[in-house]
Amino acid sequence: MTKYLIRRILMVVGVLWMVSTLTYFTVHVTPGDTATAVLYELYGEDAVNTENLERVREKYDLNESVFKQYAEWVKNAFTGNFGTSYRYNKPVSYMIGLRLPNTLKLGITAFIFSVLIAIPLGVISALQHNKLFDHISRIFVLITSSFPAFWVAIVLIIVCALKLKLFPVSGMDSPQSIVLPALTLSLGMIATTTRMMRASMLDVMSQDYIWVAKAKGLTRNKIIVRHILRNAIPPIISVLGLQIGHILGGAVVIENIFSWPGVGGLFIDAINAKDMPMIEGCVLVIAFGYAAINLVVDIIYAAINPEIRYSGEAKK
Amino acid sequence: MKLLEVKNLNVSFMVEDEKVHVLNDVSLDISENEVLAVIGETGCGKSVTGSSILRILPENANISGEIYYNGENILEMPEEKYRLMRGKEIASVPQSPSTSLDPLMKVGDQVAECITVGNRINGKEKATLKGVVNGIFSKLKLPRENEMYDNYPCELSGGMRQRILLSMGIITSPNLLVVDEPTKAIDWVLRKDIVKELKALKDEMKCAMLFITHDLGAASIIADRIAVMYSGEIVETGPADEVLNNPKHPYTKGLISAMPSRGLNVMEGYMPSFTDTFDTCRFFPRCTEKTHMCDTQIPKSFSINEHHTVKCNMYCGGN
Repeated sequence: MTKYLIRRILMVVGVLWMVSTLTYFTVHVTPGDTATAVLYELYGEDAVNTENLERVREKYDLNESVFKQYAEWVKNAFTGNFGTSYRYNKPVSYMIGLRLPNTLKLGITAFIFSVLIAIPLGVISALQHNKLFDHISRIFVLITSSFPAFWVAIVLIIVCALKLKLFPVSGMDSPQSIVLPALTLSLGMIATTTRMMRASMLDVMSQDYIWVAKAKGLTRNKIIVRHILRNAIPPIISVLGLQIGHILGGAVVIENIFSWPGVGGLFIDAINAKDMPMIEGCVLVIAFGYAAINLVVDIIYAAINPEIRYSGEAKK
Repeated sequence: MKLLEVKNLNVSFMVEDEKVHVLNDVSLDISENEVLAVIGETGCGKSVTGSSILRILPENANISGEIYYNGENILEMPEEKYRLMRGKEIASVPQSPSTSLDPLMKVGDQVAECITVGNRINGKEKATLKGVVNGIFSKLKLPRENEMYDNYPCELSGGMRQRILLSMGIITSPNLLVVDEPTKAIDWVLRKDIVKELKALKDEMKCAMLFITHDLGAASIIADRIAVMYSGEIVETGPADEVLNNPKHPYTKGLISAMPSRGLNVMEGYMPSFTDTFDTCRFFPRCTEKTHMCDTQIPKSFSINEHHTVKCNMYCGGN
């Protein structure tokens, strides 16, 4: 298990390196001059002149070759220094540290929403296979997964915030503020998780060991809890791991719509200003979140599934 | 009175709006302490017969007829009442040891589950549950019986899993044991041993057994009587010796001559599909002894003697 863990952690480091490299060069080849973008974003069009541009380039070493800039960034990143934001003129780690808790709060709430809705929905759909509830849930899932998140967000704002005045339109001023963005963010995940949960349940329900459980004389509820759910949940854990990745990515868009002060807003602003250290910082945070969650998922999976646990030990 | 009496059992399944008749007027009976082997090729309805007796059929199944257990029609019994009998009075040993055990549960817990259902044991016995399960394991000669309890199915060989399934069947000392293809997934060297052990266990527990198999060799070791099944119908029933040494139905004769010890003469053709409708004998296309009336007349059951019946037009004039 230790060997496995070390291997997986090294893989995470590799992934982060690849993601950051790709981002660095991709942003670099996009049209537009970095110094111009920074000046324009911070001080407006009037500030863009040769003198100021040179000053900015001098300050952030933008006159060096892109490879040298990148090498410098990697060197610093390994010592924990992710650079200073061009736009905010503050350390990237400080800015992200300020915003990350808000993104996590939103992500975790969206995750809890989706699990609380999707798992019971999937379970009941499978138990009511091809009956009314199953059909209704299928239509619900189809609808929620067909509408784009930004459109749903706008509808929710108009209906729940402006008309019914149930929740605030945007911001993070009251505890209720989180409901609409979290709900929007969780919708796509609810659809996938519900369908996967249903399929996993149906698959387990047709297994021979369920027949055996019935032949023992167990009650229906005991069969569901002890044998069906226990075997149907593990595949869903993998799906949830992947879905959390979508939540992190989706947060970038949703945070902007709802003016949620998370990493997403920081990210979009950084891209507009070609604020390279900030872009890299945000990408690393999202990529690290994704990789770390999937590592945790794999460990949980191995812990609950003896087949994987023992095959791992046998290899060792 | 017979322990189990199945009368005119018909089972069909609705598959995509089409009715598939799997069992057609199946009648059989088992006395106390008797072993009835149901033999036939794969897909002839043997396992569906077993599942019908246990009343564990898929939701799309349609079942009619009567199944009497100790004189009571179990098909009319409320589910809750029958559930408590299932596993206790009528237990089963399923086929395919590789898929019949829950992969995420310790095998010991899976066996213990059979006796913790309802109020089959009291609190005091629950404390010694592990000992009871280990006792069964050692009875079935499972190696390392004291460590076996905490193993997961993936750690066991096919033969060991088969014995775990067997221990689930016998731990409640049932009156009737439905054993479905116990030798299917096992090395042929071990087959004889498993069947002999089953016979010894059955004699010790004094239970009756419905032994479902396509392995005539296994049936010849354990069965008191044999029922031969073809395409969802019982075509011949009789004492095991008589059926094996003096078969009457052409299908039984074909099965016996296909045994390796009898020359491995494989029958030609295939079993008809369950979606087909029949106005002749179901075995007609493959029969080597068909007569002029076989393509016009559906055969009825004829008695060869008091214990031996056969469903074939050859015997309609008496034998």
